[in-house]
Amino acid sequence: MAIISRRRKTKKAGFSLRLKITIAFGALLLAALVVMNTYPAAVIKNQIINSSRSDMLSGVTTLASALESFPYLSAENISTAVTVLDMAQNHRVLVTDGGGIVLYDSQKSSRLSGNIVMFEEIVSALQSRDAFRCTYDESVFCSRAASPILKDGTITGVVYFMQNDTENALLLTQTRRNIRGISLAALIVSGIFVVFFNLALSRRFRTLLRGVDAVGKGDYSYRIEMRGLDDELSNIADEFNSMSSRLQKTDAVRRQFVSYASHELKTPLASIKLLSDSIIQVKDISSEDIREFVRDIGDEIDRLTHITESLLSLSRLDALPPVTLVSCDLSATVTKCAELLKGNAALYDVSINLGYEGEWFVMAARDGIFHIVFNLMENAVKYNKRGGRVDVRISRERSTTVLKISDTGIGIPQNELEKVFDRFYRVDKARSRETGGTGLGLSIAKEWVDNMGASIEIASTYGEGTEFTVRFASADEEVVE
Amino acid sequence: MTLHSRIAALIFCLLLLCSCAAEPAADDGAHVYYLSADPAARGLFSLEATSIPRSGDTPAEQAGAILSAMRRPPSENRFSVIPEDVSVLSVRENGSMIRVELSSEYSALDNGSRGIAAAAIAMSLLDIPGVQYVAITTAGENQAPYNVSYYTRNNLFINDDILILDNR
Repeated sequence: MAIISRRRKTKKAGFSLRLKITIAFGALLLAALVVMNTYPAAVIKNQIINSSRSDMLSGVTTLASALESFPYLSAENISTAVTVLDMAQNHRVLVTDGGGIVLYDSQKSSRLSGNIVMFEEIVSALQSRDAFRCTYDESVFCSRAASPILKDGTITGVVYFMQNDTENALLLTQTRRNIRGISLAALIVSGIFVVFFNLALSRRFRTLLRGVDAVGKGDYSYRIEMRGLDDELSNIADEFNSMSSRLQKTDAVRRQFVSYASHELKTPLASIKLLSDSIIQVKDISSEDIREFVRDIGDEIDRLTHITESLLSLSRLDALPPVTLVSCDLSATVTKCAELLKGNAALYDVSINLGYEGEWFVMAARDGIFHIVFNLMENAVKYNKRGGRVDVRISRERSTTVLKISDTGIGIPQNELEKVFDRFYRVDKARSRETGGTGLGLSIAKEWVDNMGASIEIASTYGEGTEFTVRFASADEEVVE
Repeated sequence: MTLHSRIAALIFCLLLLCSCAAEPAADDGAHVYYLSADPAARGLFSLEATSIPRSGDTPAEQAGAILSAMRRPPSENRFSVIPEDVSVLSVRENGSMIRVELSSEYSALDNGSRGIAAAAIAMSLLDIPGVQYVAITTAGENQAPYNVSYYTRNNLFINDDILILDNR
């Protein structure tokens, strides 16, 4: 059920993201197109109207002023004024008396002369207001203007202009048409772009989600192949692959570790079982034999205990957060470990020689430094020849303190040097068993070295001896807490 | 078709039906002209008509009702063209002519106010079925513009469409 739910979530996320991108882009594009199709045309239209207003009002007021100079208004003197001022070229001119009767019409064939006109602008002019109005349809700007003719403060007539501007109307219409065409082209191109962009983006997201799904189901070998340009999604894919690789290694190590641990634990348990069965099943077994078998059982139990303690140490190390480094006395630790190993060393007739003087302080963790030194020195003793030596030297190299632990033991073949730090790995299994080794000592030492940010190197000649070199960050002096 | 779509279509049809049914019979009423000052028209004045129910059996009665209505503008942006001090003394019907007798205050008005008032009165009364001529008098004398003794639809224009038609 969990798998099915996960699959459904993946499908839904891809679809809704595409829809969101499309809606967002569509809204932006729509807004841009609306502005593009309204604002420029509106600006042009307003400019045309304002220009017409200015011209027309100027014209009517000029003619009205000219007519004010006449003692009375008649068709003849109005005609003269219109001709002189050249007002009738672009406009239709009407002049009325104070009651609205048309005294002059520039259009000779007109039937308005002598009749009453109470157009909106003329009514306004009769109310002593200059008036202008412009209407627009697709084919023409129709502008009207009127101004009162005043004589001694009395309105004696009205000058009225009307103009039909088809040229600018056509220009505006064509401009609108062009903008609409451009908008349509932009819409189509943008639409195609959005479709391809969406497809490409959602394909890349689906690729990512497939990887997440696969790893979520436990397929750590799955790698995402992200095609296309290098971008954030490619970076995510690379990081994901790196994480999967680490997961895969960790999983492999875990499986191997479980396998080794099971085997290592099973071996002493099997021995204990065998020995106890022998005691039970052998008739008339002697007390001496029983004592020997029980001694062997005790050894196996010790071995089991040792393995368990080492496993616990390792698991604690795995869960340990980065340690806080403090100033530790390396020389004192070495001295203490030498003391603890004196008994074992005497057993194998191995001498431990400490080749340093004074106190040496390093930045380390107190538990860690002990495990490192003890495990390395114990190995040097255990895998030594009878009558051999273990030499421990401490020196300074720039800002690091160098600990060298060398032995004259059996050495390690070159092809196995890399593996000695692996858990449960033993070069000589037989000898290791004989000496109570678990194959975990060097792993524990390496984990601590890594945890403390130090370094460890190994050099060995098979049959002649081995040298471990550990480099710690030097501390100036011990810090008293 | 889903249930929601059906409901939406039904509501749309009902609205359409209501709008068709609610279409006003504007031509049945009388048109009364007022001086209109529309703030949106940038201070322009114009003669605008408002429709009111016809009252009166004869053209003269209808004319009387219209003249009364002209003194009562229906909204803030409408003004009566007949000043308060001008009275309608009589309204007489003579065939297809309506003769309106106004008080002497009317002749004292300036040309512009008188011209606007005369145009509004004439346009309102010419809308009465059967009326083809309107005369406006004071003390029995015509108060029309100088060379016309009565108003008709052929000598009175309040819409500049006439100019546009002429230009075509």
